Amino acid sequence: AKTYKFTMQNMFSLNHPVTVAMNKLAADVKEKSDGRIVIQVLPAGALVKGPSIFESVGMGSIDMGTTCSAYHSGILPVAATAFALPGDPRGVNEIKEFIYQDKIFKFFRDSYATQNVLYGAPLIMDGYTIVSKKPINSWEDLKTMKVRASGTIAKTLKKMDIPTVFIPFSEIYVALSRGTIDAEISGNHAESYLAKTFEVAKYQTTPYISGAQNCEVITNLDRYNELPDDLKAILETALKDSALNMIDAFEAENSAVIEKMKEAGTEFVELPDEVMQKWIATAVKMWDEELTTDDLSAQYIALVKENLKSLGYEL
Amino acid sequence: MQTIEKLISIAEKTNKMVGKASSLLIFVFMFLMVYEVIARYFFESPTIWVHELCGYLFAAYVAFTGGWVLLRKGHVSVDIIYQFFPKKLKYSADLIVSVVALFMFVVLFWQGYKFAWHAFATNQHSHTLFGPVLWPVKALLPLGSLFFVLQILADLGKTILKFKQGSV
Amino acid sequence: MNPALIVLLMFAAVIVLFVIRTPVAFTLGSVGIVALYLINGPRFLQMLPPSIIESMTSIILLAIPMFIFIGCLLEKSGIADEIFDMIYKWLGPVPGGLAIGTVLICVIFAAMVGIVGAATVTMGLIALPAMLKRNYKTSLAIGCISGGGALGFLIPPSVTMIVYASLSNLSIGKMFLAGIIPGMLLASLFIAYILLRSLLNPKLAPPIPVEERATWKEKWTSVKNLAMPFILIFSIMGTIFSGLATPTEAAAVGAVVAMLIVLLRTRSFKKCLEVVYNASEQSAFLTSMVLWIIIGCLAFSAVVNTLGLPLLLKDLIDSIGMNRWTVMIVMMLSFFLLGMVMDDLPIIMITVPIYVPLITLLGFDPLWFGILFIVNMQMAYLTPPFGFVLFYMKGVVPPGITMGDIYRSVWPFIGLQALCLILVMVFPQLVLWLPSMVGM
Ligand code: NA
Ligand code: NA
Repeated sequence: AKTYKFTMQNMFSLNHPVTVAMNKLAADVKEKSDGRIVIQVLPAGALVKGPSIFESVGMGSIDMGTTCSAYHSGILPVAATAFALPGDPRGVNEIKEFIYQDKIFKFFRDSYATQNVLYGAPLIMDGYTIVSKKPINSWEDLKTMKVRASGTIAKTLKKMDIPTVFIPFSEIYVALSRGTIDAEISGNHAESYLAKTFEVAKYQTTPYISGAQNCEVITNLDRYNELPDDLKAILETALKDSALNMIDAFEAENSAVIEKMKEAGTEFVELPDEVMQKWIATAVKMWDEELTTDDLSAQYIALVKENLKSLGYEL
Repeated sequence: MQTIEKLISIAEKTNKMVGKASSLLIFVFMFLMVYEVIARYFFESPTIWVHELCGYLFAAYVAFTGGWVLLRKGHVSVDIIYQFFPKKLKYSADLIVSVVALFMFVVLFWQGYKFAWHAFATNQHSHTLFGPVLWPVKALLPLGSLFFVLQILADLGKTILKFKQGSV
Repeated sequence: MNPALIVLLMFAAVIVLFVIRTPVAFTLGSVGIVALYLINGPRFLQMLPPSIIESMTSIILLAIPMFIFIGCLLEKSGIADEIFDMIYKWLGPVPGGLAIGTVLICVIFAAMVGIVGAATVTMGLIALPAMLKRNYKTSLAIGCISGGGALGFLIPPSVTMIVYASLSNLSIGKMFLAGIIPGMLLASLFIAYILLRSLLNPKLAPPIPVEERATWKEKWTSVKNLAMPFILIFSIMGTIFSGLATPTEAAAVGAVVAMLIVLLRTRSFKKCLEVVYNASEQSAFLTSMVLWIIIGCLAFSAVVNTLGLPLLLKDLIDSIGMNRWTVMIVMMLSFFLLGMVMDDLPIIMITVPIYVPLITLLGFDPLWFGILFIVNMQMAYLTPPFGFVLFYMKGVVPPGITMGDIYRSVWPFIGLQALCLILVMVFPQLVLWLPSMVGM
């Protein structure tokens, strides 16, 4: 039988739970297909870096990739909208249930298909925490900070008149330690542990200031369509399994990581009500004003609102 | 023969002009960066565009100077053995080098053109807050490759002329 | 086809193209493109434009033209003459004093400038004639300029470090910090060596005659000559480590300060404009050369990466039970051998995609390895038959001194660099301590 070789460009670091999940995905698929599908997982940056993966998969220069849809706002705006809605109160499991509703999953598939990309599976992680050198106990505290942020988070901060600073990801650590920036928002607690920023900035806010981050694993649509039906089914199952595995792995690691950071002196500070209220108010207002400029995003926001209502959240 | 020499001279003049003009871009990104530091540190109002714009200017700086550097033989090579070659062998080596370089930049032009065209056709924007259209940046690769091709052809012409002069 | 065989064939092609003097950028680029096409398939060529645009728009690499610009300005600013004048007054009376002073000036230069050529060129023009006039032995004079000039690689800022760090995703700030202690250590080794030899054999580097020595007053007034260099050093490294700016921004601040220094020194707007214009042209020229090598290498390293060579090597090393330190020493030897025939850039380009993932798999620290690499590149700068210093020195030494004499002069300094390399290997704390302090 014909074998199908897929080259996957991963964008996560060596020990990131997504990387672990992707290596397992490759092993599972190989085993279940008797070696008819081989997925080669390339380490971060081997061929292209994160921001170029989506386009490269769409154009077919690489077959698969893991990527964070925040990067695609200029190509497929709905992807960025769906990445992490600032102020979204839902946690990882609620968002997982949401995405895997037939209607929603089909929405993702159809949207991504417009770029010749198969939305393989969501890689859902906790949302964003603010990692800061000084505790954020009031609105004043946050307002006077220089924050490194990107995407919709930066957009929300800008709406609130908080200056965001552009600094390459690799320089965040030194910039924090030297005080070039006072705070950075680039991920959740576990990711701050991986990036070691907790060593140079002692405070992390709770709860997360956005809904979960929906990164995803994607496949070139043509390459996927070449597969015979039985292999498609195998790949689909493995994709879904890897998505669920990753959520479990992340959760299992999370509490251990938080303990380790606490031992190292990290303090987890609950964001004061005034900040949280202001944040949510600004963010939710932005959903309607800024994020719905394209049709697909408007549809998506409507779907989210419907889901929030059914879950009993009030906005 | 004269037309070849003329064409070579036009190609080289173009590259020299474009390269020299682009080298002045350094002052633009230098002052933009200093402006950013001052805006952020003294006025607490960092911009969302300085770094990204500087990145794009840097791409132009690199793309438009490549051919000029080739003209001035500035792309480093390892010449510990070449220097001992007899004249004829040197010319032959130069000929092969030009063909190899031509191959590389034709490929880069072709791929870069497809990439930039795709960005143009789909009206791609950057994913940042600044969010400018991307095709002008992406077009810098095929444009830069074109300047290289121009200079490589000029070099090729010069080598051929040398061969001819040698055999006269 | 066997991945190892493919890589061997690629390297063979690289050697052939190098021999016929194909520029490094075109060699790596064309070999990479052909291999990518044949091994991975034509559609993989499409990944070149996005990765090339990534490099061309890299904010980190943007520091390169500005550090080069600073170097070009200082070379022409006459600032070196002033520092040398001061050193001459203070250290002239000490045996070997001028050679020691040359090393010290090289350290100051290294801390201002990101490229190594600047210090070598200026010292060759200023310090070499001065030392020869004072009957310093040529070998010592040439040696101390060569070794001192190479310090620019290790003492931040350093363009080579920027390239290494951006290729291996390390923080430039951390890497700059990591270089400081080894750089000072090596400078101290040079000074100790010069002092020891001059004391043992005063004829090698005689103190200047009593009647030519400066008075204390002259000595103290000359100290003001250090003001401008220190302002510049502070404006670059100070802005990074005080948190004012990122490394790239600091380079821009330094470049503006350097222009002001030139204006102050020349006291003529027209003259200043001329120096600045020439420096800007020179910077574009050198930056373009560096960036096109990086771009050319993208296809090459893409092939190496898709072949998974580092992982295969790791498995091979495990299966034959080779000690990881043996691997490390083999890598160091390979750097030394490559360094005899090549410069830092081509060596970075062909080794980093293979070595850095491999040493990470073997459990070594990539930051520490980066510094080992940089020390090796200092040696490459000096080792015959191909080394920038060697050719440059041949151009400035008096007639009658042969290439062979120059080769012989640099060996003791290569030895000291090797000693520094071994010290850094045995005591990783020399590298890692300072970067770990930024976490405080
Ligand atoms: Na330096
Ligand atoms: Na050498």
